[in-house]
Amino acid sequence: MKLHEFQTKAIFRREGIPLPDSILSSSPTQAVQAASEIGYPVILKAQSLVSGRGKAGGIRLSRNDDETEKAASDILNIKLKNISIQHVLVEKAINIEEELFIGVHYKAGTGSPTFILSTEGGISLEDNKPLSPVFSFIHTIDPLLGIHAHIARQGCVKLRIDPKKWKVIEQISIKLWLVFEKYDATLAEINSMVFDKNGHPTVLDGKLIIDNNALFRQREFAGFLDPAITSFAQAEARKFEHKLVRMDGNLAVLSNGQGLASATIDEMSRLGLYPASVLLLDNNATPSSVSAACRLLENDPSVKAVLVNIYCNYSTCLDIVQGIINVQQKYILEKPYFIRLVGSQFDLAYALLTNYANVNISKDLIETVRYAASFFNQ
Amino acid sequence: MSILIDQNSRIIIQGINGRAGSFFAKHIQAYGNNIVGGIAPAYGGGWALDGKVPLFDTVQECVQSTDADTTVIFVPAHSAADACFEALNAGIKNIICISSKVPLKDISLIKSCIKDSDAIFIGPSATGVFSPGKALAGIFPANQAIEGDLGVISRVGSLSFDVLDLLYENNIGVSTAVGLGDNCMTGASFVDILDLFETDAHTDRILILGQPGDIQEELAATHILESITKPVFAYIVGESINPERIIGLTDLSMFDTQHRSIDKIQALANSGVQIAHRIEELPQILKNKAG
Repeated sequence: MKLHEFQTKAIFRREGIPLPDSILSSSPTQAVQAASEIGYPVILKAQSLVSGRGKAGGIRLSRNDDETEKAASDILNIKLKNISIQHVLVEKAINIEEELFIGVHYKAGTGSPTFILSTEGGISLEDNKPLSPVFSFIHTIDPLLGIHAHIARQGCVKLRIDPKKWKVIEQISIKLWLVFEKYDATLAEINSMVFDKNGHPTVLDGKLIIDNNALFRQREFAGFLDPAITSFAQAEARKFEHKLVRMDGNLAVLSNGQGLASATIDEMSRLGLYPASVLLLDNNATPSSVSAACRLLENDPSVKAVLVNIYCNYSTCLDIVQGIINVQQKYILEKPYFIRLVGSQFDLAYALLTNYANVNISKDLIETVRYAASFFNQ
Repeated sequence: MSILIDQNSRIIIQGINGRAGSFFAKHIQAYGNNIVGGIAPAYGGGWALDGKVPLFDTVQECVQSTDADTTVIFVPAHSAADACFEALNAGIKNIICISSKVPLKDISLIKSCIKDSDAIFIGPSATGVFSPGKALAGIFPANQAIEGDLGVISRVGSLSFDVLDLLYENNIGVSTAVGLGDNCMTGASFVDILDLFETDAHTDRILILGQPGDIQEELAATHILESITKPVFAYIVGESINPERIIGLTDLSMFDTQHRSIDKIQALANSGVQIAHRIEELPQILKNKAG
């Protein structure tokens, strides 16, 4: 779960990372009030989890109340990737002497945390762009040992940073590691740390992504609204430990593995079909959890039909089909189901479906996809 | 021969009293395996699977009295790291973690502890290890597979079962199938298992099954070029997925924007790996090279 900037900063502040004063506001009036408490000049920053806020005009400098009101109202009207901005963070503007990036994340393929210290601007570990080897120090961390001062110091030496700043960089690197470790982050980023004329450090922006699988021990975040959940349907899916992703096609895919769902989409795309959504069942799918999944798809107007591709290993074909039928009995069935199942009790499942005109069942995926395609080509 | 497990493997089940644990313990035993013990804290001294499998409170006690060498773990995600460490400390060689949704921090810590030992950690979210005709330590459907010369390494879940079925229908035998799990971070990787197959006398060719996310396929491509002499085949799903077309955000790796299947397929093809673009093409390309 990706945290908003203001949520990240609340954690950083709690763990002793130096930050400029800031106040969260959700209207131009609140923003003006916040700015007067903090003192001009201030920066107004759109709180968005979608990148590109800078380019969209979501970061503005303001020197007085008029500018603040205008900037806040502009920012609250921005939409990034169709998601509107709800909050503006009003923050003390800082004179920047020198910028520094510090980050820890799990880099793909390493299986260990990676520590990065860089003097390069505009870094985002999420974007995974290659870092300049000249301006960046990249170090694999043994998670049993963590980040110690000497690791940060090696980076300072490599990047030819003024030795007067080493101590502070070491301390903040260690604090960032503690945040990463303590809060089960998959990414913790300081972007960027600046020094004022007196050499005092301040962190201007930060990013934290918390491991969704660790929410059982990170109770604090369990109550946060997961930004990946943008619809009621996704929230409902989560209750049953299903995963629901919406897409821009018109045929929903219901499956029990990412690989199987991906193979299904590949096969669909050969016949010009694309998913309206992808719903992945939990491994231990029961008739009632399948019913819940189908009900969500039934209620979604962008779903015109449902394609089921499930390899039944732990559950049986009968479990899955019973789940689907339960939905159809309670709701007027408008959407056709194209079902491909493999596993035990297939014949029983098949027999159960013979009375349903709107349902097609097969053991063969290509055949099932072909049926679905002919439905859309009618 | 096979890799990791064979008819002499002494298998234990951690979490044998749970729903999935007891279901798959029966499945594993039905394949004719030697399940020498089950771990169920506070039930030590009792029996599972109709009195055929002794229960132990700890892995250590179990290993002392049974010489177990392989564990299959079915505990809930929050206990998975503990179960893996317990197995490692007790001297188990094959630690196969079926549990899913394990935090990355835990996986990373297990990997760090295991790297200096001679144990191997497969998973989490693994489908396990299966040497047809010899042993099953995982959740692979076991009735449709024959012994043969093809080593299979998979980073997909239930799709690998489809592939095994298809191989069986086409009379293509398997030496060992290893399901690493579809997590974005796994214990053993494609590269680790490629090396095991390279030195296995009864594996003549290798099939890898991949999907979007992580860079395991890319690392495998480099490794195949440098160190693998046996022919390698690959089926990487998700070629047609365009992550730009999702509405909202997701952390599912099949929609990973940076590690897409098209790039993985390109990297593998550049290393001389024969690619199947759809599952139906697999028997054909495997037969070509066999002749």
